[in-house]
Amino acid sequence: MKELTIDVAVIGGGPAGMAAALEAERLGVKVALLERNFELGGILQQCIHDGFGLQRFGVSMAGSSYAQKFINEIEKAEMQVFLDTMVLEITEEKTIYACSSQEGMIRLQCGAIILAMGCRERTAGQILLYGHRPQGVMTAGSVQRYINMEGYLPGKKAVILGSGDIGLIMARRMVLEGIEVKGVYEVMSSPGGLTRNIVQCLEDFEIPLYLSHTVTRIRGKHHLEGVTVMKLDGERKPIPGTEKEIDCDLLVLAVGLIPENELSVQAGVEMDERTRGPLLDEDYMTSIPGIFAAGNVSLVFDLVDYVSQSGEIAAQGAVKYLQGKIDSNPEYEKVQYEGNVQFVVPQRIRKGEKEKEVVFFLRVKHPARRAELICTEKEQILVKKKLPTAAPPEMLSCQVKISPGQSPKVQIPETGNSEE
Amino acid sequence: MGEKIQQFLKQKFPEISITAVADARNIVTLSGECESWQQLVDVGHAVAKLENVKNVVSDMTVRGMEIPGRDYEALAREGEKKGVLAEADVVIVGLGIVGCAIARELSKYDLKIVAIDMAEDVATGASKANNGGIHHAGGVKPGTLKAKLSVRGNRMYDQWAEELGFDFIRCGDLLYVEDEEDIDGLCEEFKIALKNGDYRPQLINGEQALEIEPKLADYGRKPVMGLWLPSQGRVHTYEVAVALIENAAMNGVQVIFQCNACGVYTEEGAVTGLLTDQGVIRTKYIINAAGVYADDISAMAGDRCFTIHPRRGTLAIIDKSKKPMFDHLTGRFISAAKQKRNPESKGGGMEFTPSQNILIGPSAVERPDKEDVETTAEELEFIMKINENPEVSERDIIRIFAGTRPADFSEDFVIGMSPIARRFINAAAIQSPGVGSTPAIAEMVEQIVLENAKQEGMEIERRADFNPIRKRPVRFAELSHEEQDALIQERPEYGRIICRCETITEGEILDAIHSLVVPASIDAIKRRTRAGMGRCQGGFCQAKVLEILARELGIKHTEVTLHGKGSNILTEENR
Amino acid sequence: MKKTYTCIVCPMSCRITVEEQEEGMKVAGNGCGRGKEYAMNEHTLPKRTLTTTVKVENGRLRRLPVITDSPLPKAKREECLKEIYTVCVQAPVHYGDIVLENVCGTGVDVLASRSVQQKA
Repeated sequence: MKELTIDVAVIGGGPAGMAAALEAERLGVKVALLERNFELGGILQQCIHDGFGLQRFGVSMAGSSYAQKFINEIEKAEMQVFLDTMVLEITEEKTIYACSSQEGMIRLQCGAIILAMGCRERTAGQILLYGHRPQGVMTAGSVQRYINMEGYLPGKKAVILGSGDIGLIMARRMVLEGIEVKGVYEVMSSPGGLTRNIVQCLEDFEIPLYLSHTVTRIRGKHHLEGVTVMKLDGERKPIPGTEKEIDCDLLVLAVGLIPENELSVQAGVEMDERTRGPLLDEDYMTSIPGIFAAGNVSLVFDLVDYVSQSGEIAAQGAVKYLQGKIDSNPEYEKVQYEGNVQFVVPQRIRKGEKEKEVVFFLRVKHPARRAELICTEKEQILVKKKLPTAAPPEMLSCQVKISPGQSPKVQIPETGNSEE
Repeated sequence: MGEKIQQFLKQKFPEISITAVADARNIVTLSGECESWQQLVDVGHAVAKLENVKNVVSDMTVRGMEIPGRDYEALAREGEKKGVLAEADVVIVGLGIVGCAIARELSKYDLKIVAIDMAEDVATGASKANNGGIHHAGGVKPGTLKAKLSVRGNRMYDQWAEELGFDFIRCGDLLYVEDEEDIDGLCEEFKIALKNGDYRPQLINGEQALEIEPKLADYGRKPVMGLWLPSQGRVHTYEVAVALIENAAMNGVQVIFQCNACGVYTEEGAVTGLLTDQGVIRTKYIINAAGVYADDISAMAGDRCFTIHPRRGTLAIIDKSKKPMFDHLTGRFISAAKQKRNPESKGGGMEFTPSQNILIGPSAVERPDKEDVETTAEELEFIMKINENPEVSERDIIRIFAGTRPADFSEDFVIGMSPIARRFINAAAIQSPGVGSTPAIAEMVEQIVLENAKQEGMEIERRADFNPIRKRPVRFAELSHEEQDALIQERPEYGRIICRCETITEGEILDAIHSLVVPASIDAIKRRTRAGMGRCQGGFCQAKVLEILARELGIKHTEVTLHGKGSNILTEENR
Repeated sequence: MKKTYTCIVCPMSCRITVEEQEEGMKVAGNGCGRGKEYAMNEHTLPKRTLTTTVKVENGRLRRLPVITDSPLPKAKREECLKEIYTVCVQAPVHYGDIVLENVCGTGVDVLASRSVQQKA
């Protein structure tokens, strides 16, 4: 077995992992980047559409281009990159066991670990689709991979379930490939994706969007022949009599993403039910000191720019940890939140350290207009930010200066101006 | 007899008019129109339960309903054009676990055996959609063939698992009661187990139950009495079927997939051949293990002696991160009278697979279509009510699936040589506890063949080179890191992880593809290796498995299927 | 003629109407100046960046993702796609390489949006 000692090991070579690895190296430590695919870039490589990098680079570029920028930098860097390498186990002592066909088993003893495994898609089984189980029901990511990377079409007439950005992007993508898209069906009463994508991916192509609708039955024994869709009532139950049969040979599922935390759980990292990622502090350190998390493994972000940013925060944390600047048995202050807030990351802050800048990421529970994002400490307002509009698909962020002993509370008071 | 039955039906179902005709074997054929499918099934059951009735054949119809069936004539026309496909001594029709077991059992002898299935792989019918129970005999009616074979089959599993290298756990079944009024029912179950000859059933008190399963207390259960049935075991049924057919193939059995039986040739009342859509197979023996279609195959031999009424069961499989509540199969026993369930089915429960995935179900719903394996919201609701695990909710389901059990009206196995077509042997109507009974079913069929051969003056010799051992395939995930390293050094393909949920390597997939019974679809690879069986359900690995299959089988990407003909994953190249 | 556009300049998603009148275009419903500009562009000559793939030979991948270097008139999309789909490039390809110049005479170039190495 190949044995290595390394300062910081980054698991996953997507946008979070690449940013983390580059930042750690910039800060002068020895870095290993482990990626299971034959190349770096992660899921960005199949995201050939534009709209990436506006925050970070000020231009809108393709996902593959965003990845390429980081890959080019990594090629110039000193770090050890392990491609085609799968991490099988992480121990609490920060030992990583990984395998690759070239190296065999690798045992890495690490000073710190950054988890950057990304997320995966929810499947047909998880959303309880009823009916037959033929070929032709695929997640949006699988369809995207087959079309964009492999160059094959998985069907000719498609229905999309879920109006998140991935579903909308795939609607346009399929039309450009000559697939007829019969409609996008959304369980919720408001769209899951950005307005920009509704306009440019659906309206441009006259693809109808049906809100408060779902697929209630899959038809076809060998290959998908069609689906039944129904309108939903206020409690998201199908309304009898609204059944509509649609002929299609492809049902694309864009029904959400789940952080991929099998390795984290196995290592013993404490998880947050809401984000489905690890419980994090302001340096994105998990409940195991020295193990950090970045990107979509910690929570599902909307913009890749934030994913990269979180990778850098985690890398800075990891280096601080290596330098002994983080208490190895820290005490935490929970970050409180109230009002129209689904969750806040980081979920807690280490007590008793010097004044620090903390970036909070949060999502609202439901759409709102003319709201305010306020961060308070007891009665004192630390930060106040106007929100002309806010919707669950969009991540909000605010940067707050926090002094030792302060326990911040993040709130978006209900304005009564919520849409629908 | 027919007259009497008709009168009985007139009383019991006055709203419909059913004609009953009994033959010399006391097989009763019913005809007439019912008002619903459920009523048709009820009529069949009612007649089958009458004294002296051996079984029921249904020619009954349902008002306003066309009962779905297969178009054998079209298949026969196909086959007749094609000439002779193979020469054999024995043809086995249907490769569920039962067909595979019979193939393996008979491969001990110097016989040319051809085994066919309509699907692209083994275990695609009831064998893929059941919960893999190797049942104790507490729930089986004494005196039935089921009771006899399940007790014997259960005991044969240890040797099978050892020879064939499949996962088998003997977890035992602990039934307990919390309510005094259920004690009588539990004692009754104990008596049944004893009577059937089950292995050491034990009636125990509440304390003993807690000793066997201390976690009962963690969940606040207060057993007042228990029944401990140590014989209960668990397998992955599809894995057993694969192991059996691979061992059979090692010993010379020829396997033909996507081959549909559509006619039986007889001469002077004895089998001479089988017509399939791929051509004629000349044979002396036909063994009918065709599952839900077994009644059709038997009819082709001119022997209509039972009717299959498919009973659909839906199961939910739970993510591995949720652990089973108990180490043994453990369930609260509630007297049948208190439960609302299909009286012909034992009904499902909280179970788990040898890989420690929790399984909930199955339901039991009578459906007219033998291939109706649809899942419905109602059935999911039913099975989620079975759920007792406070940690488990609908959110943890990774897949729901359904299968149809091949039930006949006598609700017993139909195993035997046909008195009408000699050398045509039924191994039919195998439903719960079919998986556990399978070794004994195969043994029984073997005896029937041997006895008949003796009578007909044919000599069947044992093969000196029969090898009962099928080595357990490499399972990378189960090895220590040192073993994993050694394996990769020897063959680098084991260092490439294809399925990340279950940690399945390219090496394991290649081993499966280059085995004697080639898994030629994505689902077949899944049954061999577990690739795609985890929480992402193939989202990540399907494209990779597809690539490997295309490369190794020398076919185009667009030719790779999910589960055989018509289920191609990709339709065309995009440039 | 009056037409309504959903503004995508910021998350406010204003519904902006544009009406052609004799004295020029009348824009209403916009929350800001950028919205007005957006709606007028959408009304007169809507443009979109186009991304798709082309065939790549001899590469580690079978498809190369491409992107137009500036937005194309929406109405020209079909025509441009057709031309782009005739392209087949040889690996290696570098990020930013021009794959197709002046697609359909629009003055817009089509660029590789990543690098693709040669097959090993």
